[in-house]
Amino acid sequence: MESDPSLLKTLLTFSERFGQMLSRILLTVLYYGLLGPVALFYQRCADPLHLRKRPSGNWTAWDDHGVGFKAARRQD
Amino acid sequence: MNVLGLSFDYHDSSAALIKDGVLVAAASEERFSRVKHDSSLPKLAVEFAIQKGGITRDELDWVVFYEKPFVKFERMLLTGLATFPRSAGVFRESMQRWVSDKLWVKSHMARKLGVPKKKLLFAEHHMSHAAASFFTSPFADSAILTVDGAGEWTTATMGIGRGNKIELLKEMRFPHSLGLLYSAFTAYCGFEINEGEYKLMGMHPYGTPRYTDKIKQLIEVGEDGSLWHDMRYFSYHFSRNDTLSTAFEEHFGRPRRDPKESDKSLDPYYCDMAASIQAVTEEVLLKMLPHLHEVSGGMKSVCLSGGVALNSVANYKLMRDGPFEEVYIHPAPGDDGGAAGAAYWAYNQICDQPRGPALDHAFLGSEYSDEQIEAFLRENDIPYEHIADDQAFYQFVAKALEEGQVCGWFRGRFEWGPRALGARSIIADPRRAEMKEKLNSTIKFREAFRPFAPSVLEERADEFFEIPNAEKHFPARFMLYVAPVRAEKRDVLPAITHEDGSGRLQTVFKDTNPGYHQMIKAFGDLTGVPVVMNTSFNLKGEPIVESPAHAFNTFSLSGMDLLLLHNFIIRADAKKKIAETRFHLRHEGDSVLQMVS
Ligand SMILES: [Fe+2]
Repeated sequence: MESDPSLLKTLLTFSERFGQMLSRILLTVLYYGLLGPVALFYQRCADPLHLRKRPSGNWTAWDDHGVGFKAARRQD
Repeated sequence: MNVLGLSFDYHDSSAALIKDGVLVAAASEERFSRVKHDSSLPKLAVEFAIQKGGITRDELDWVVFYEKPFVKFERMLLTGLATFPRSAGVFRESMQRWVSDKLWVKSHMARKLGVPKKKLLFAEHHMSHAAASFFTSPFADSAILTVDGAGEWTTATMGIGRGNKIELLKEMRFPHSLGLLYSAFTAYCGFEINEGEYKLMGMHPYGTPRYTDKIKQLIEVGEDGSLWHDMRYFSYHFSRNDTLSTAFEEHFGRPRRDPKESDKSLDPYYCDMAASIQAVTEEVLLKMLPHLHEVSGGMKSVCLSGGVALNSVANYKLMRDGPFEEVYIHPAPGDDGGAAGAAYWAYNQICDQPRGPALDHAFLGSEYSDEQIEAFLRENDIPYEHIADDQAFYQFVAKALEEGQVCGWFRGRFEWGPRALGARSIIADPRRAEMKEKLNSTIKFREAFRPFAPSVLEERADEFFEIPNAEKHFPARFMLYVAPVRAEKRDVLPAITHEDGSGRLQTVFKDTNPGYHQMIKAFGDLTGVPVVMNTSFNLKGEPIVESPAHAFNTFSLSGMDLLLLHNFIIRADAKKKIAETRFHLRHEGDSVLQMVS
C-alpha cells in the first residue's frame, strides 16, 4: 500500500506540534514543581545576578575557565 | 597550521580561516544565504573560507567555536532561579531551544562540517572578542577592553595582551551591561533591539542630552566605569518580550515609543533620550578607560572590542579624550568577529604560535573575476559597456558622480564586518545636498534622518576632518570613528555632514584598496574634493550584496543610475528582474529572549 504524502505531512506536523505542547507542559511542571522550591531557597542564600548593590564597584576578577588544550576542549 | 573559527546560534553567524597566522578569509553567512542576520551554522561561509584558503576539510587542524555553550546554559538556569516565578515563560522557551538545539553544538559542528570531535575547541565569548582585536592589531603589547550585551556571563572585560598571549583581568557580569543598557533605550525609543542601535546613534545629534541624570538614577556608575543596574527598571533578565519594566516608563513619565512611529518622524523627546543615552555611554566608557590605563600599568595603546565598539561616535571620543595614545578596533568588533577571535585565540594562545601581520584592511570575502562577471552579464542578456583601461574607467566614474549619478560599486573581495568600505558600496557626490534625500528615499528606502558616510583619501583626510595623522588611526580605515567635519568644509560636504557637523569617515589607502583610492583621486582631481559618499550596497533590510547577480538585482530594485561591476558599466535602462536573487527584505530585530540567550 502506498502512503499518502499529504497525510504523512499532516501527521508529522501534528506530532511536532503535539511534542512541542507536551514539552511546554513538562517544562512548566518542572519549573514550578522542581525548580520552584529550589529557587525560593536559592534566592535567600545566593545573588548570582548581583541584584543587591555591592559596596565597591561591579568589576570582579575574571572567572577563568582554565588554560591549555584540556580546558579549550571543554564546553564549560 | 589551519584554524577555522566559527560564531553562530546568536546573530550574524560567521566563519574565519587563519592559515599560518594570516587571516585569509572571513565572512558572515548572511552574505551567501541572503537571510539578514542569519544565525544558523555557517555552512556556506565555511565552504567559502576553505575554498579561499586552498585547503580541504581534512587539512583543518582546529575548528574553534567562539563561546562556551555550557557556561551560557548555566547562566540561563541560574537566572531562571534568581528571577522565579517571573521567568516561567522565558525558562520554558529558552529550555526548549537549548535542549533541542543549542546544547548539541559540538555534535552539530562535527556532523554538519564533517570534522572529528577531537579537533573542536571552545573559546570564551569575551576572550574571542579580545583576541579578534589584539591579535589583529599592530601593537606588540596593549591594554584590551571588551564591552557588549552579554556573552556567557560576561558583559565586559579588561585585560592585557603581550606578544602572543592575552590575560583577562576583570569582568562585569550579566545582567549589568552597557550593551544591554543601550539596547533597552533602543527599545524605549521604538527601534528593534539588535538592529536599531545604529538608528539610535544616528538620531542622537537631533537631541539634547537632558535626561542623563534621570538615566543615572537607574544605574550606578563607579569611578572605575563599573555598572550596576537597578533591575527593578529592566525586565530582559526574565521576560521574553520586554527589555524594560513598567517602572522604567513611570520613571521617565512617558511610555515607550510605538515601533510603527519610530521610522517616520523625529519626536524631540526621543531624540533627547537618544542624545542622553549616548552621553551616558560615552561617560561610562571614558571612566572605564582611565581605570584600564591604571590597571595596565600605563600602557600606550588599547584594543577595543565587543558590540559596543561599533558605537563609532563614542570610539572617536575615546581616542581623542581617553588616556591611551593609540586605539585599535577590529573591522568586525561584534559577535561576527568572534569567529576570527576564536581562531586567533586557538592559534596564538593555545597553540603558542607567533603573531601574524596586523589587519590593515577588511577585504576578506569572496570575489569574482572579469570572466565570471562577463559570463553573468551575457547569460542574462544584460547590455553593458567595458572600459579596459583602469585610469579611463576611474575618470568615467568620477565624471558620472560629478554629474549627480548614483553608482553601485562592486570591486574585489567583499568586506569583513558590517561596513561597506569600497568593495560593495553605493557611491555618490557628497557635495550635493540632495544626494542624502535621494539615497534615503529612492535607493536605501530608509529613515530620512540617518546619515551617510564619506570615503576620503587617507593622505587628505585631515584637510576635511579633524583627524590629524590619519594614517595612524586603524579604526578610521574600518569606518569606526565619527569625527567632526572641519568647520570650513561642512558647506563643501553637505550630503555627509550630519546634524552636529560630524561625519563617519573611512580613510582609503592606496595600498589596501587601490581601485577605490584611484577612483576617489580622479573625483578629487575633477572637483577638488577627494571624498565620495559611501553607503553599503543593499536595500533596507537586505544583506550587503555578494555576487554580480545580487548586485544587479539590488541595482534593478533601486533608483541607482549606474552599476559598476569591476570595469563593466551597466546603465539604468538595462534594469530587469532576474529570478534567482531572492533575499529576506525585512529583518524585524531580535526578541529579548534571543538577545540574552
Ligand atoms: Fe559579544
